[in-house]
Amino acid sequence: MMDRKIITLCLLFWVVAGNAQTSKTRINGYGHIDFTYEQENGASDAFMNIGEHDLFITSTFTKNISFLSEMVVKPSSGSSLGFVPAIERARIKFRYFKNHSIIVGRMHTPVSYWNDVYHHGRVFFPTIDRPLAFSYFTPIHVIGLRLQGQNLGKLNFGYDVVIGNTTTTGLIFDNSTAPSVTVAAHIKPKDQMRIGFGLFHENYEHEDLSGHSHSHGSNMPSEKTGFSLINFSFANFGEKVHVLNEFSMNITNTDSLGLAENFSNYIYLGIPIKERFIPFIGFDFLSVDDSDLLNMGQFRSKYILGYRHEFTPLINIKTQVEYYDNNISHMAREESKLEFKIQVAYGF
Amino acid sequence: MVFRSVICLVLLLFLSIPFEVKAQGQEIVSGYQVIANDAGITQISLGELRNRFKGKHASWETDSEVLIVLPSSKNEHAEAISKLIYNKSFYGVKKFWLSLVFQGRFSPPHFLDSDEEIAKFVSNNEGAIGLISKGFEVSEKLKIDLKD
Repeated sequence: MMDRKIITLCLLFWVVAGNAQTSKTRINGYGHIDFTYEQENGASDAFMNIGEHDLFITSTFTKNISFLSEMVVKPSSGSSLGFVPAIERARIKFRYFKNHSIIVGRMHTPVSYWNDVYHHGRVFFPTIDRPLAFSYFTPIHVIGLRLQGQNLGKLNFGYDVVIGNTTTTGLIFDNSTAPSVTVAAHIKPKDQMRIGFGLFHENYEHEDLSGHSHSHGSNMPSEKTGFSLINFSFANFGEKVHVLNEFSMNITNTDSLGLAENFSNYIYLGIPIKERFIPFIGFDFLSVDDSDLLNMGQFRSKYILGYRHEFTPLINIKTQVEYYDNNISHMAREESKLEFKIQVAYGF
Repeated sequence: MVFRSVICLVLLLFLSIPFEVKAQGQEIVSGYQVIANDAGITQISLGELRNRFKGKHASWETDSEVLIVLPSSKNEHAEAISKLIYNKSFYGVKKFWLSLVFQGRFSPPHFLDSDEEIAKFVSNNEGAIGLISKGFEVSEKLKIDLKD
């Protein structure tokens, strides 16, 4: 029933956006197909999946008001069809003064470079997967109000302030707690470089957090939980070297377990050969304190060796060998895994 | 231990910043003329021109929205103008704009096939800016002088 409502809403958006001002409405699509071969504890498996398929629409209503949406159909083991539709972004932007805007709707929290730039477009991702933090810490979506400024001054300073809610309920004042607050700023000292930080805070109690991160942890905290995230991002996609570093520190606070300090760092280093052929390496780790109620004690690390071949700006193939080494202390379990992955990502 | 690793990673990042590659398009700028509609300016420096084409300003002083017009892949000037303005290949320019539009930070540019199409689009749309060959006939009111 819910699926049908979302599909109807998607069609309605498409019709309205298409008829509002035909000459200034653009529709694009993005998608990906994945193959994975993995070896774990002596057993091996192979999978082939149709990934997220994304209808991306932009429309300009007036010179100051525009609309943007990402409507995604994605794999879901909980659906009888194997896929569910979702509105990942639907936002209206009002540019009220020069490079300053107010944005309202559902969007990605601008807390990190990756979440603010790549969204659901796999063709833009430098590696096949998002950083590990996206499965545990990073609040991916928010519904609310955003103030944005960009390209200010010689250093191209940009700011974002978002007030909203990252849980699936979408209520601004959910269970009488305060709304989430995201404050982010960045500079772009060179065209290809962006250095930024983001701060995020929200309190949770009995909310459904399944829309918060692509969570592998608890989706329903059993007691009031204060959740803060500090993120530092460095991105440099120059002609000779590509670097992306995402550092996150997550602090949670509960009455029963107290303060937990969690860390994560993703680093990607690519060396383009003739612009379109990019071998790369990466390292990602995530450390969760034993006193963390949402994700519980664990240390995960991931080593990446890969190659991205870009046929055009809108179709590429990535191949990766990944080695995972995990210590899940709350389950007293250690595991390691070797994966070989291929992803074809495209847009049209 | 974790803290020390993070510091090392951050240092590694800053060491990996490449030295700025100087623009190599200066010598071919004389082959093109800048045209714009309702921009409220009669002169522009090369640095400011580049900023405008990179989407660093959403509006002109006249409050018109900046509409960027670029040569498409079928346009013989695509590579030269990409190098001149962005210091990138045309492939790099397409990637740059796909990413910026997907982020929701700027309206998509208009990629057109010829000088004639670019001149026609600019003359019909307030806030539009483009580059065409210097010899191409165009209304005087659209011409923007390039400052030294």
